[in-house]
This record gives sequence, C-alpha cells and structure tokens, in this order.
Amino acid sequence: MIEAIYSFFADPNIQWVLFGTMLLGLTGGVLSVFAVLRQQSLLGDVIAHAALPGICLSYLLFGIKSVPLFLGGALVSGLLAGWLIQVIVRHSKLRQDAALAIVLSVFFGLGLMLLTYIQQLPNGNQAGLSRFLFGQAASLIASDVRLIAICALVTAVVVILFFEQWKTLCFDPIFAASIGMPVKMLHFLLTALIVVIVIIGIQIAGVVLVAALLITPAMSARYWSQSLASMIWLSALFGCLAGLLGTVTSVVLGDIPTGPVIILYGAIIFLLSLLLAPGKGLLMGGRRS
Amino acid sequence: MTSMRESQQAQFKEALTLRDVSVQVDQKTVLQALNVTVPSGKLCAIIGPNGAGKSTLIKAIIGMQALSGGEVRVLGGAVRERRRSIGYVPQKESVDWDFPISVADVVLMGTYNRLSLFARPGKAERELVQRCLEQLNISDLSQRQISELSGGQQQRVFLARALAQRADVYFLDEPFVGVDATTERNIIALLKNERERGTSLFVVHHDLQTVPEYFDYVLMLNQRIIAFGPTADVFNAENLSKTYGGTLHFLHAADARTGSDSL
Repeated sequence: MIEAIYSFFADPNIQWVLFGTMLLGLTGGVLSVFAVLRQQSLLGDVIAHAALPGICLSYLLFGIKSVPLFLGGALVSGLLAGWLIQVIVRHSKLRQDAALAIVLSVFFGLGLMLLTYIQQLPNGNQAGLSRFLFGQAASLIASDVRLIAICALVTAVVVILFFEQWKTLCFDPIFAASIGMPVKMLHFLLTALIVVIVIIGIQIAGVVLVAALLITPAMSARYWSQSLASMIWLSALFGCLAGLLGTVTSVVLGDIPTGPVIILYGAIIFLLSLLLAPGKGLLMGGRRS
Repeated sequence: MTSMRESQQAQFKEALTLRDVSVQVDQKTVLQALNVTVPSGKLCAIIGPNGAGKSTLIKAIIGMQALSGGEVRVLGGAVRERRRSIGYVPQKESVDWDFPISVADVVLMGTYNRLSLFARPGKAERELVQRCLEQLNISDLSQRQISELSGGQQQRVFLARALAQRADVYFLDEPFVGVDATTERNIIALLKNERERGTSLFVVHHDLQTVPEYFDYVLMLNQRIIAFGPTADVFNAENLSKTYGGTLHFLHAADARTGSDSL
C-alpha cells in the first residue's frame, strides 16, 4: 500500500500534474479573495464560459490541437465577452447581473454548438477537445505547469507590492479614488490577473467549473479570518489543498475529470467552514449576518 | 503639520469655487450650471430634496464624477493638485461592513493619502490612528472587527479615518444617517472643533430642523443652486419652498425656524 502511494508520487508525470493543480489552486485562492470581496466573483464565471467558442474557433481556423492557440482563442473570446458586458450595461437599462447572464449563456451556447459540430467532423483528430468542458489535469505537460508557475509568481509579487492599495480598493473604492490612488490601474491589474488565471485554469478544471476556483476558497477562508492577510493565506491553502486532493482522487480513480473533483473538495472545505468555524460556523454559535 | 495647514489656510481664502459646473448621468442633467464661491473655515450644509444631486455634487467636486462642463477649484487649485488636502466621508452604506478588517486598519487608510505607492504605514501613522480613535471615543474598539459595530460606531470609524487624513477641506455625505443622538452630538462638536482650527467642511444634510444650530453656511440645491450664503441670511421659508417645492420637509423646517416646538 505504502509502496503503491510512493510509486504514485514518484511518477514524474504525476508530479508535474500535482504541482500544476496545487499552484493553480493556490493562485486562484489568492485572487479569489479580491474577486469575492470586490463582488466580482461572477466575472470569472463569464470569462470561463465565454472562452469555449474561442477554443473551438481556434481549432476550426487552424485545424490543429495546440494548447497556446486554444488559450489564445479563449482569451480573445473571454475578453470580448467582458467588453460586451460593459457595453450592455452602459448603453441599455439592463443591470450588471442581467448583462452577465445574457453574455454568459450566449457565448456558452455558441461554444457548445461549435463543439458538437467539431465532434461530428470526419477527420478524427478532434478527439480530446471536449476535455475543455470539464478539464483534464492528466493532460498537463511541463510547459503548461511553467505557465501556471509564472502566473503564480506574478500574482504573488503584485499582491505583495499593492497589498494596501488593493485592500483600500476592495473595501472602499470611492475613498481610494478620492485620495488619488490609481484606481483604474489597480482594478485593471486585478481583472487582468483573474482573466489570465481563469484561462490557464480551463485545462485543469474546464470552462464550466474553473470559476469555482475563484469563489469557494475565499468564501471558506472568510469564515476563519479576522484580517485580509490571514484570509489570503487561508484561501491560498484551501485552494491548494482542493487541487491536491482533487488531482489525486481523479488520477487514482481513473477516468473521472479533474475539474469536478477539485470543485467538490472545495465545496467540502466550504461546508466544514460553514459549520465549524469558531464564532461564525453554524454549529459554533455563529449566526447569519 | 500645523504650520503647513495654517500657511495653506492663509494662502487660500476660498475653500471651494464652482464655475458653471454641470453634470449629466445617463444623458440626464443632474446638476446645471452651478456657480458658487465658499470662503474657507466654514461649516457648510448642502441640503435639497431626494434627487437634487447632493451626492453627485460631492462626487463631482472630488473628481469621482465626470463634469459635462465647468470647473471645480479647491483651495484655489485643481482637485488633483489638492488630493492631500481633501478629505471625503462616503455614505456609510457605500461599503461592505462584513469586510475582514479591524477598526484601527480602516482608520489607518486615512493616512494613505500621504503614502507613496509601495510604502507601508509605520509607527507615526499608527500613533496618529490612536489619537483619532480617542477623539471619537472609540479607542476601546481599536482591534474590533468592523462587522461587530453598531451604526453609530461605524460612522465614528469613518470620521476617525477622515481625521487621520489631516485634510483642510472635508466633504461628508450624510454623516448623521443611522446614528444615535449621542453620536450625532459628538460628531457635530467634532466638526465645529475642526472648523475652529480653520478647516472647511461641507456636509450633505437631511434634517432641516438642525440646520441653523449646526451650520454657519448653507447651500440649497435642486439641480441648480437655489440659494447660498450664511445660514442666518438664506435659510428661510421662501428659499426652502423654492428648493423643496413646498413639500413636507419645508413645513417642518419653517416651524423650526419660527421657534415652534410642534415637532
């Protein structure tokens, strides 16, 4: 048994995959704090769903399966969706949530249509495109993991440099602007990092569920923390843990897609926090605020 | 600090100048051709009915709302040159009071206007925070989570943060909403004290009865400036009627003004 576990973790392929999912969970955990506190957690969801038509179109246009091309296509259609939401909010009477829902479903519907079409093509090399729906960590290779590592590093540096600014921006954006903080730049930086981590996470968790990486760790950490700094550390830990457990489970059990398993572990951590967190948990004398 | 404040006060007789300031939101005119010059060192109420554009005016002054025309000058300069001299107290409902942060850390944000981009607040800033908390009688709440505060305590925290800004001109958006009577008395005493030190304060205010007692200047707004001047000169039934269009508020205020204690 112990030998089996040892040989499992000694497999270099699995090491890469584990490293990748844990780093992604960690980075997503850090960013999720700002996304949740800034009440932007749905943004990641929209970007992710909207990425699907981009992935399919880049396959149809170039006819090859290349991860950088897919991510490029995902980025373009994700950003297009983000831009459309702003246009809708600015030029119609619709509120933000309605605009988000409309853009998300239209883009995702289009993506599913293209995916179905691609799967019916006769040439046969399209197999595996559907892994972007639910994610497949086992397909990670070293270059993917390097990309995740770079993203994690950039996130860490930016959070350390701009910690006080982002804190002020998330708590009281109007005040932040009133004292002359570069609010637009700080906001852009945060959004850009969220978009990048979502796009990169699609391979692992899939377009349907990757956004949960940007919600559940922070929601869980909120139950245990008294300060922004401790919330970030905990959220990173929770994200990392969900990535680790999810990957191991998915690899051990075989054909189960990684995304849903990671998200399930994230949900279990949230449930435990909801019930057990000191002072705030439902079983620990906490009350709904 | 004090000498800088005094020199700035001496240098600029006008706290605020609006020249033809207009604001449109969603293609609707909210503020129309406002012209006013407010001397410095005054405690000035901004009053008007709902939708008169009071909050919009404050946001336009501090640069949070784009002008569709005109010019704002604070202490004789453009707003972006006066950032460090301007303090802003938003409506307390505008933030998430479940945010994981302590009272002291919120007040500490007041010092960030003097902090360079990557700098961290140090000992001097933390001592200043303690003094500001003491001024508002909430030093015992220093390490408390803000989610545990009452409405009055929340407002005190916002005011302590404003004090920590060490500004020369303050804009406060409805600081008395949702606070208890004791807190309201404390706050107004504090604002008057600041005024005595030469600070200029603008307060969006709802309770017309207290206007004569609290404020030495009043700006009556309903998309346009209906009246502006010393409270004793302009706070009368005629201007109130023009501002509020003869609604209930005006009746209350007129009673208060004529000394009636029917309320």
